[in-house]
Amino acid sequence: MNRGLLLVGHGSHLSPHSSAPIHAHARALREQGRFDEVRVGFWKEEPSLSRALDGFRSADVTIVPVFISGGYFTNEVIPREMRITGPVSSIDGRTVRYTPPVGCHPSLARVIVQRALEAGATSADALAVLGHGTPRNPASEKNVFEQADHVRVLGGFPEVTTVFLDQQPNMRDIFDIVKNDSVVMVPLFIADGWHVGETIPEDLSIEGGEVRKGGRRLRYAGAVGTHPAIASVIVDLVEEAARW
Amino acid sequence: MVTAAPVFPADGTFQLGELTVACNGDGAVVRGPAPGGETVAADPDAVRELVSQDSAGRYRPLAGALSLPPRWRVQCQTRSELVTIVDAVYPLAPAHIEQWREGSLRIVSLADVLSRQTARYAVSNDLRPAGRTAAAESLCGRCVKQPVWSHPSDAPPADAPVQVIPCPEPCSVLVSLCREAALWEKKMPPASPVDPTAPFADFEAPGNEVREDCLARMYTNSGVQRG
Repeated sequence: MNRGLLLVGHGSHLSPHSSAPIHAHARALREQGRFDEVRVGFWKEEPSLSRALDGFRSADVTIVPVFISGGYFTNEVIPREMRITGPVSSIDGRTVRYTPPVGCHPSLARVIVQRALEAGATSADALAVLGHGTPRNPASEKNVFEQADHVRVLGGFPEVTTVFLDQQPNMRDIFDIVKNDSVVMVPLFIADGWHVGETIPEDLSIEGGEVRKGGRRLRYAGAVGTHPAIASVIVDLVEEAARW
Repeated sequence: MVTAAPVFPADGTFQLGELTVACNGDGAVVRGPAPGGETVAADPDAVRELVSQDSAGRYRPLAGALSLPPRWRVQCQTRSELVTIVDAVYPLAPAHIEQWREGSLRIVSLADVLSRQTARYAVSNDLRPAGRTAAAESLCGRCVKQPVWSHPSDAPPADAPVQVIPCPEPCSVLVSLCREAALWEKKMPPASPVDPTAPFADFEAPGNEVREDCLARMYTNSGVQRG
């Protein structure tokens, strides 16, 4: 039976960069040749969520939400727009499997560590997982804390903490929160967009990938969601869904 | 990939939206608007990147918008490659053309799309019929796709020399416009001069060409004096 993979993301009406990581992961997975078809779908771009399945010829399609957290989009918008009724749905005569979001899989912790190492982290550094967070949706923080827990289990860093852009504990207090003199902050975001590329470095006075304060140093990593290793997290999700 | 269905003719030249497609046996040349210009690799990602902006560098969130950048061509070696390149310019167009012709295209109305919206977009369902018509005319009039969702009983053209790209369901850009239009109905904003640099889908921005066109239609329909 032919197997299809559909990566779904938010996309944007205003920025051409929002969907770039999802296209990049789709391309990487196409080149692996593991699936007969790999396509994409977006809430705010084309192909739209509601029509993205139209392009498949495969009888069995797995949908992987490329989102950092479970919540409104993964629980409500995507199922509604795509007519998903559960983990396994029958839609237009094909079997459709709907996985949890990429950001919720435990193997994402390896990508967080990889990003930290690429930013220069050593075994002497603290690692701070940076989430967006929002006071309007307490559930959005849950996944960030869980990923920090997974990183702790992997080991390799004397201190692993969690900070947020838009709630407490706040990233601006990072030097009060960590004990180590040196910390690497890894943004748990899908894209190197407005926040990761502009507002966060500006708010933290980061220049050239780091900021120093009173003999202490903060290094700033790239977004987790743009790392090529995300493709392997997607494969993990698909292989787990294949056993449903 | 979408497989190479016999959705496009084997030989001859035809228009597909703003594209000119010249088929020659297994191969084909896909040209953007206006002749000449650069040859782009038959790489769907490169083509998608190319058509993501108009000639003025403005982001094109509506793939069917009548604003493809001019003067480029792609040499496709196979029919499959042709389908992939067309799919990169007009996502799902090959699949929807094929499904429309065989009568299997699932068509969803604007009423159904607006009624299922939640949160920020729930208000779009308040938009009255005249406003819905104004929004659709303003946006769909700038798109190459034929909104078959508005006339689902229309039959597809049989072997038409000019290909039609059917639009089976109102897109997210139209939903976004309907949201704003529903808010405008409650408090009509004044007209502003069109600003061609305004982002295409930023309907909150005075001067956005679609916003101003839609507002003008709504003013006309409602008889309200323009500010």
